[in-house]
Amino acid sequence: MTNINLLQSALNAASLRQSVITNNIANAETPGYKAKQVVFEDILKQHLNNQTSNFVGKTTDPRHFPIGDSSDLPAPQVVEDDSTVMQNNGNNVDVDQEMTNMAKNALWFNSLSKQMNNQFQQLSIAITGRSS
Amino acid sequence: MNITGVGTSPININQNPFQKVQSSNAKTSFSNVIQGYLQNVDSTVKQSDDLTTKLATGQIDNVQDVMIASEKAKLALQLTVSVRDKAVEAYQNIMQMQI
Repeated sequence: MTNINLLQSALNAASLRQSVITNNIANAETPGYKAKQVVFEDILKQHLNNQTSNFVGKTTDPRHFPIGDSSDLPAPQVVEDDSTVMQNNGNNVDVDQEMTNMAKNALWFNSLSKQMNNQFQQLSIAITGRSS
Repeated sequence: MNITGVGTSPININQNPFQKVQSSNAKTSFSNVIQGYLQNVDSTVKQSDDLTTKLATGQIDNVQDVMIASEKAKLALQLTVSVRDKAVEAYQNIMQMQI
């Protein structure tokens, strides 16, 4: 079940990244616009690495100290890159790079959704007990 | 030019979940064999899950490995369910037999 949640949040991140990239491309000529990108994979990896033990303390009050790591997955973050300048008007959108990122993101989304489909099929096989 | 035939030797596929059980021990009981099969299926599914996690965290460079692993896991699960169904069917046939 955790894999389905994992895939769901990854798909959400891919969708968000798609809209951020299209936003960047749309603003490729806007003066002063800075390109944004979505950071998700590294945050998720860090989160998963921190989950060394399955022992998680139940917190019934927001003031309680968390024991172990909370089970909710991290949300993707939008980061603005203002370190570079591509054009004279302060814009730093590199359209070639954005197109490459978009193709990569589409591939990632496709494989994630395929995996999601496969997970549901496995669950369905296990539930119905019929190998169809 | 000689063209060699396809040959009759079977094709060996690595990591076939249903061929890993050693049958050298003649006294292997049926339950041991089934348990070995089930452990292989379990490890196949776990490997697929591991690769799925890696795909979500962006550590995968070749997507085909993930797809192949997940298809393998699905097929192993389907085969397990089919074998289980056949075994139950055989049991029920025997139990309903008129003596």
